[in-house]
Amino acid sequence: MDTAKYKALFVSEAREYLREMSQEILSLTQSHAVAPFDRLFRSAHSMKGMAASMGYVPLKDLGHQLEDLLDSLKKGERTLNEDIKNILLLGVDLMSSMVGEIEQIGISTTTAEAFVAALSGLEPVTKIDAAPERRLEIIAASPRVDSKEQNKYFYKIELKVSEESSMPAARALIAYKRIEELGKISRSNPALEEIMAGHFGRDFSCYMVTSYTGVEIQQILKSLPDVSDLFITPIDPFTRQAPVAESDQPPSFEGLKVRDVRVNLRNVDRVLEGLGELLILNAQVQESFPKLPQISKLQTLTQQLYEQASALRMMPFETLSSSFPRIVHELSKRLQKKVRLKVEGIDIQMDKSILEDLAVPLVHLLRNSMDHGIETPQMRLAYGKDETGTITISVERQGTLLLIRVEDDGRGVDPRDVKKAAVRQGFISERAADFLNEQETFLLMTRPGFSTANEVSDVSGRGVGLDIVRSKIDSLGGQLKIHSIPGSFTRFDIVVPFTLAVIRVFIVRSGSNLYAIPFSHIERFLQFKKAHMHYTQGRPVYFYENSTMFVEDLEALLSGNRSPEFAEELFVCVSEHQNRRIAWCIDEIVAEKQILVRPLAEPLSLLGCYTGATVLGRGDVIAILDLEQLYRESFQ
Amino acid sequence: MNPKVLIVDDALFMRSVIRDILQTSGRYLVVGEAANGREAIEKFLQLHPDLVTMDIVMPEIDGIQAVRQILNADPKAKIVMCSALGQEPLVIESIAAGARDFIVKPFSPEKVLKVLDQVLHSAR
Repeated sequence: MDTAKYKALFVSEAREYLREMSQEILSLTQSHAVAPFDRLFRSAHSMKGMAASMGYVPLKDLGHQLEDLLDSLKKGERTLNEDIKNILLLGVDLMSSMVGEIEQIGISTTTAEAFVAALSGLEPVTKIDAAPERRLEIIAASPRVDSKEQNKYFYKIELKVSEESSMPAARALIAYKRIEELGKISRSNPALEEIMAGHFGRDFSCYMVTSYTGVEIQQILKSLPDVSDLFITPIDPFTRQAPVAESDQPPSFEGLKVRDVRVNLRNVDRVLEGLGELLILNAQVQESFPKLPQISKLQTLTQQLYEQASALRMMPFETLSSSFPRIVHELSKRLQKKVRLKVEGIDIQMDKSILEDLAVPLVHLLRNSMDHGIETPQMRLAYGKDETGTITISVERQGTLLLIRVEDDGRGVDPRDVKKAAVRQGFISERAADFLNEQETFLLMTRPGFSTANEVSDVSGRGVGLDIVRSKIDSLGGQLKIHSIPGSFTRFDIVVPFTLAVIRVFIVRSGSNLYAIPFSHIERFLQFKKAHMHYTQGRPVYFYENSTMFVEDLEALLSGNRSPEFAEELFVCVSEHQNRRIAWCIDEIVAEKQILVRPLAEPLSLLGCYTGATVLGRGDVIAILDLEQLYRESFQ
Repeated sequence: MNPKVLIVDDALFMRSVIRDILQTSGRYLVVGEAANGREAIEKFLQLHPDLVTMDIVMPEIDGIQAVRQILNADPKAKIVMCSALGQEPLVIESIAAGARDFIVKPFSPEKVLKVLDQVLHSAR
């Protein structure tokens, strides 16, 4: 077999299995449920099979060892304890390193020795006669308990009863009942009553929500007699389109398949770009023929297509958060702390690149909470807290924004300590420190260099990595807020736009130029007279509703001319940066639109003040401003 | 150890046909036979078979009632209905009552074995 060709696929599939196994092991409890061990066994078995067919002997051996251990757990010959759990994790880790080596150099030099050695430390197994029921119970069919942390998958299942079946309705009923054992069915076609009344042709379909994966469902259903043509399609639960009633045309089947494909992201992006151009073209046509009735239908369809294609890039937060329990587990061992991790919103879908960009900041915040937030069990007890600390990571979608929260119930941060440290390190004068409000104080910790090597204090430890967190969030066009009560909790609130590609902007005119400013960056618009401005340290400021804003002439800053002349009446858009407010002078708001972000190619992309450009209906190219960057250029 | 099967049908001939299919396969052990629903329930409780093949139309207690009673006693019981052509509504009722699958007369050995295998390996 041509292994080189399949190596990439092998590696990506292996990683999926390992990720799932890792998660499954971490959520193993002392209960005697067989199902988790079954699943783990099947995964180890699959890994072993893949490794064997590719000729990766050490990986195959390790898979075999894991299989054996899981088999004995399944049969009840061993009971789960902390040691065995750690050995399982070790096994998965070793497999991971092997896969890594295979990816880099084509073979694995690591062997299964370490695992075998660890196994030898266990007590020998007492073989018991597996009761017949156990032997036959290969797949537990009981639907899972509804719990927020359980994975939920949505599928459309379509099947055809073969011509050979002399009782198709009875067969369909059996299929229905089997499916019902795996999850909740909504909306079957035909409906259950119809099937039971015998009104059934050959085709059956239904939607279901389940904690089983498509592959598992397929394995269970395809063994049904007289079922041909089984299709299982994953459904995105956040699709705006609710599943519409099926057309009367039976879909054309091609045979047993699970409709789950791996797609190269570049191909998805090309489709998206093409659709984006189509959207723009539509807008242009609409401007030329506004009265044509088909135009708005065209727009709607294109918009829908675009959104459906965008959804291809979406992945659930779970893709990222599934690695968190592992981190918490390892760190709590190393730091000798007891920590419980809660993750909420694992099903929330977000663009793949946002997920990737959030990985570093979130892991940083998680480690940070464990290192400097959660106290040791003894300390927590002394404070009257539960000896197990809790870290909660939650994701919520609010319109076009994503709200991500990382909160721990640890020792919190004292703003006074932050101020002292900042003053001591020369970031800010003592006098200026007095003027900072709480938010502004906490954000001091995100200044690069706040936690320096020679500063040994809890506060500086807390600051580690926060500058990286901050700049990643900024580059996503998001915002970071920090809240804390000393002794009680610390919370990081991150707000980022939901999608990168299509965003809502204001089109503003400054001088003779038009610019696009992302909706999420603007706090408000204001109008005031030049005469009401003051000057502080040579900079013009305007005082409004208890806060001072620095006034900047957008055009002057962009053109490099630093001594602007202000008009009598000023119209500004206000944005907030590190709790400073900036009022950017513009001439007028031209429009508010949803636009497609086109990335800038080099050398234009080197101009930091633009995050991209967009093309408006008439063909005008408009730059999208990065106010954060402009703020930095002006103030630092 | 082969799975144990209880064969229920009021016709001796039919019971023999099924028994032969199962014994020829070498994979199943016929542990008992019953000629009506009442016997079926009694023998089920006595013998604890892994699988039951159940005729539908029988004197005294019919197949569907027997399915209900057996499942009452043991919710995990696996019962396969044996039906004649043209009795689909009865088969549907049996499945609704909890039977796991069905086979249709005249029986083809491969089909019978396939259905029984699948029912045995599906979990409850």
